[in-house]
This record gives sequence, C-alpha cells and structure tokens, in this order.
Amino acid sequence: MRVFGFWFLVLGLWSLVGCAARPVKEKAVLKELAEGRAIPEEEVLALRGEDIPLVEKELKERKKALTEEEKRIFKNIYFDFDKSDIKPESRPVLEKIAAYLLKNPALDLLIEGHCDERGTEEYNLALGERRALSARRYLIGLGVASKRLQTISYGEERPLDPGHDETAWAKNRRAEFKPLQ
Amino acid sequence: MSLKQTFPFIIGICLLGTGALFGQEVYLEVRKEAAPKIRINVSLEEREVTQVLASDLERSGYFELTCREEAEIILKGECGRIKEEVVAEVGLYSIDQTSPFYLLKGRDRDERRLAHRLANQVVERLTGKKGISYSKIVATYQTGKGKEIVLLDYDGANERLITTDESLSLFPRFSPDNASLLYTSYLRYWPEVILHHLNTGRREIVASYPGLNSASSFSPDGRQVLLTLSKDGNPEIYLLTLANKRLERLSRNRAIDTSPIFLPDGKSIIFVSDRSGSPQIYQLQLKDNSLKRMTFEGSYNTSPAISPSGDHLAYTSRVGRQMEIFLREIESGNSFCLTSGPGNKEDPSFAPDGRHLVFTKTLDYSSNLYMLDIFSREIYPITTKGGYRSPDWSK
Repeated sequence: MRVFGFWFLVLGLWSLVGCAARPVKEKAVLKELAEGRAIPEEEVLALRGEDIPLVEKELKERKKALTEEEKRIFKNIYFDFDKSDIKPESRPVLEKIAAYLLKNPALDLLIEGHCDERGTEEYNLALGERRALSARRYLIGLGVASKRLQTISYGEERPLDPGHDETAWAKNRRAEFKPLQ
Repeated sequence: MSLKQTFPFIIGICLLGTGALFGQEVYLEVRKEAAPKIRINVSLEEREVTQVLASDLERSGYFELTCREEAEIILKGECGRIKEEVVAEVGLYSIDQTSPFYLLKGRDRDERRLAHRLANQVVERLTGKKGISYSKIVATYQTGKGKEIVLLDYDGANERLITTDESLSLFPRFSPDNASLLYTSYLRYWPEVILHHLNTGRREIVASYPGLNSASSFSPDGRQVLLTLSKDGNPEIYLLTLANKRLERLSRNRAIDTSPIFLPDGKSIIFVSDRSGSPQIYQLQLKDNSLKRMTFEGSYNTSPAISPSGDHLAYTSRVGRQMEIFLREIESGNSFCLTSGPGNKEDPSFAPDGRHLVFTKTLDYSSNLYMLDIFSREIYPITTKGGYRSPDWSK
C-alpha cells in the first residue's frame, strides 16, 4: 500500500512537470530567439520524432494586408526534389516565423505545401502536405502551439513560377506561410 | 534395344516436346494476344455509323480495317432513320460467301450509340470477349479558373462537365456500379473527398478531416473507400465504411503513404510509400497486415492501377527524366515498360476488358488522354485539345 502511495506521488509530480513543461519551454525558446541564439538542433529533432495531430479549424481569412514587418518574416522556404526535410538555410526563416507567432498569440498560421510539376499528381499532393507538416513540426519544435498551425497542400497545382526548367522547379518546391486571424 | 522397347521412349519424348511447346504458346498468348488480327471491311450506307463502328473495331484491338479486297470478313448492311430512331440491319460475311454468317440488328436514339451497340455485338460474336464501346472515362479538365471533372465516352466523344465549381477537383474515381464518383475537391477551401451521385447530381462530403483528404478509391463491393488523410500529422492510409462512417487506419509509418487501391478480391490493398527513401509500390494483406514491396527497379514508382481480373498491375515509373507506364504480371512478377517516345506518360487506369489502359501524356506542356492496348502496344488518342489529367475508366 505504501509502495503504491509512493508511486502515485511520483506519477502525480511527473504529470505536473509534464503539464508545466510546454509554457516554460515556449518562454525559454522565446528568450533565446530574442537574444538571437540558435535553437539547438537536438531539441528540434526530438520534437520532430512524433506526428502531431491536426486540429479541426475554421478558416479565418485575414482581411487586412500583411504589414511590412510580416512581409519580411513570412518568407517561403524551399525543398529538394522529392524531399520534405527542412534545409539548413530554411531554419532562420522558420525561427523568425516562430518568434513572431510567439509574440503575437492571437495569430494562427496556415502553411501551404507545394511541389514542382514533375512527378505524379496524387503523390505530389501527399508530398506537398508532408512539406507543410515538416515546417509545422519545426515550428512546434520552436515552441509554437500545434493548434495554431494549419496545413494545406496544393501539390503541383499552384506553381509560383510557370516555367518548365530547374530554376522554376526550385522556386515551386516550397512552403508558404499565411497568417490567419 | 529393339523397336518395341524404344517405342514408349519415343512417345515420352514427343509428349515432353509438345508439353514444352504448349507451355510456350500459353506464355506467348499472354504477351501477344493481339496477333493475328481479323482483317475486316466495314461499309454501311450511313457515314457516321460506319465511322464510329470502324473506329470501335479498330480500338478493340482484335481487328484491322482493310479495303474490301484484302478483308477476311466484310461487315455490310442497311442503316437509316425511322422516326426518332436510327435502325440498322447488318451482316457479317465471309469473303467467299454471298449470305451472311451472322446477322445483327439494332436500333438506338442516335448514330453513335447505335454504332457502339453494333461494335460490341461484332466483338462478342467474333472473339467471345466483351466489347468496351459503351464504356466511359472520367478525368480532370483544366479551365481558366481551376480543374473540373469531365465525363467522356471512351473514344473522347460526348464530353460533359460533371462539376462547374471553378475550384480544384482532383482524382475522380468511378464506383464499382459506375453510378457515382469519388473525387478530391477544394470547393470549401480545404481538400475534401466528395461522393457525387451521377444520376441525381447529389453530392455528399465523405471525408473532411483536418489537413489532407485525398486519393480515394472504392472497395470492390462499393461499401468502403480508401483515403489518404494527414489528420494524425502525416499522410497515412485509412479505410472508411460509408454507411456508418467508421474509420480504420491501415498504415503507420513516418513516410508518405498514399494512392491506395483494393485488389479485386478485396483481401489486400496496393499503395505508394516512400518509406524506403523513394516512392515505391507496396501490397498490404488486410488479414494479417503483412506487407510486401512490389517495385524495386527505378527511383520513382507511383499511381498503381489493377486490372479487373487482378492479373496485371499498371503504374507510372520514372525512366531517366521521363515518366513511362509500366505493366507487371502479378503472377510471374515480371515488369515491363509499355510506352516510349517523347512526353511524360502518367496515371494509368484499366478498361473493363483488362486489355486497355487510359493514361495521360504530357507533351509540350499539353496533357491529353490516350488509350493503349497492353498486348499490341498500339495507342489511340482520346482527347487532343489539352488540359486533361487523372483519368479513370468506368468499370
């Protein structure tokens, strides 16, 4: 009986720590970002290990245009052919987006995943979604609450550059970030 | 050794020889069922019926159209309008006969349908196989404002818009009874899976989970649909029972899992996954969840389609910088490329005869639908003006 009591206490404490972990972490990450420090790679990778369910949400389309600051922050990130992992050069972009979202808690984000025209349509739709989900997972790793992050894939349907060469394809394999409010 | 002793020996060798010969013939038949074609001459009095009938016979793969002098069989007869109907009385003649060995009669509301009706009768009479002249193809069509679903006759005639949403509609698939379509639609902003009843035009949303809802196909009995959903944080395959909306997750892997289809026996599914590092085709047994990788050659194998009998798997494979259609004999495991020449060939779907495939070919940035005879490799265009993708052949 006493042994049971002890384990209940441990379990209770552990769950308390577990609950408290997220806000603490969010603050810590925010502080680090404010200080311009890079987020340790292991910390981000640890959170990328799990799939985070999407939450049903209504689309709150933003009526007002992006501010100058937002235009600088919500930049596209790009992917290699048939890949969905975040490239090292995309990390600073995602870090700025995460910092902005943490500073503006009323703001939700729509992440659009896109592909180039090569490959089959159905597979590309899944690949586009996976690109958006990679970016989402990375942002969650930086402390943004998962329920604030929606994804949508357009596959190869919405190219940014209508060209048919490597330059155009490289621009089209992307994730776009659209603030929602 | 006396003759008496060697005789059974000789017979044995002869039997062995013929056995091997038969074995080889069977094998050749699978590959080249087309040859030799029946040389036929079609001449009816009505121009459109003649044209459509001749085209149907040619596309069936069993016939070669020739002039009267070179024909083995002549198809001739009378054809005309009686009130609201087109009526035909046509005979099939052997070259040296004055009376027909088979007489066909038909009536229909228009020339095209009548010609298709006659063509199916000719195919069935002379080959024992079912004709595909009445079959339909559904596809997407690019307009200025998005992609709509279109329905066409198998030869490209009678094109009809099924949606006018001015949105994105993708991957239309026929139900087993051809009475409804499943497709992915962005009509309400997010990609959702819609069931569209063709007789009434009524539409219902089948899957509207957070994230991606796409790549749907029916179970053989039409009661369940396979979906790709990302609601759990990654594109995975799910089985949805339409009547009670019960959802079952079938794949559990960190990679992309998509493009699921049922085998005709309903016991296993085939899908695409990049769990090996590149998209490849896998087969999952539903009973024991055992998984088998089907494609090993090439770094990009997607969009699987299964023949109605379950004998053949068709898929898209990248060869060099170009996409080609491949065919795999399920039993032998042999795969071979069916297409060649310039342009990306993608998204095969089988005709009800199991002998033909419809696919998309993109050449000079224009996508059109083509039908291909898997035995003779002959290709006929279905559309020509461009903008067509993602075809599915009716069941």
